[in-house]
Amino acid sequence: MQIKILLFAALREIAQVSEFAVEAVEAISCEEAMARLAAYYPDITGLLPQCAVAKNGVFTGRDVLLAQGDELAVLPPASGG
Amino acid sequence: MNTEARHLTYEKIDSARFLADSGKSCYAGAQVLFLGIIRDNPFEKKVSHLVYEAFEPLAEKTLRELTEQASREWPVLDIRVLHRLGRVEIGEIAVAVDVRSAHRDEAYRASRFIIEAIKHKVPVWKKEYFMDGSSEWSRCQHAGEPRTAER
Repeated sequence: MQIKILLFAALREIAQVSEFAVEAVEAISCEEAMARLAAYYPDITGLLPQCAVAKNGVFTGRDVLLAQGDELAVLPPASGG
Repeated sequence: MNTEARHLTYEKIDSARFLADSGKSCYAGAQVLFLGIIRDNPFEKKVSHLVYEAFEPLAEKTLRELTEQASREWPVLDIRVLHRLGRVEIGEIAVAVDVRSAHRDEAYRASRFIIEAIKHKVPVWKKEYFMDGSSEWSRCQHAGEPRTAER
């Protein structure tokens, strides 16, 4: 099962990638997916607690489960305007 | 309310054209236009320019939902929002919020609501580039926090 993680702004810069694929045997939570991302890119660890998450383009909670083909966007604190 | 309107653009925002695009309404007694403009900061590092990026599908959706929310909250006639993406120079407009209503109170309130929500809820990020060659991702500023180079 593969989940796509999208990175933006400072996260993308630190990890040096805009997308990351997570392999999982069964459904995992957004939190778990982020933990696996941080294991691969430990330098983003400090920023993750401040990030919002979106599943398939919709804001969601970190405890929400992700399944095959889902897209998780990890969103640093907004700074628009 | 035009639910098909796009709220993000990589093109320069021209305030006169933006206002002209609002059309006319004989029921609008008030129109509040907010322009967020890129400024330098005389007390900190000199700013060269800013670059904005967004998670565009969700930013568009969130901006649309915010205008709908404001329309339910206050009796406004029309709300338009346009936010820049890409490189934006000092003096250029980063975001424009236009609200029309019968009376000024709801226009001011809806306008303030929209711009505050943009700063905190919409997945848009700005990176500041300084004249000394350095750069940093801007952090959303809350009231009472130390200032960074922002408007």
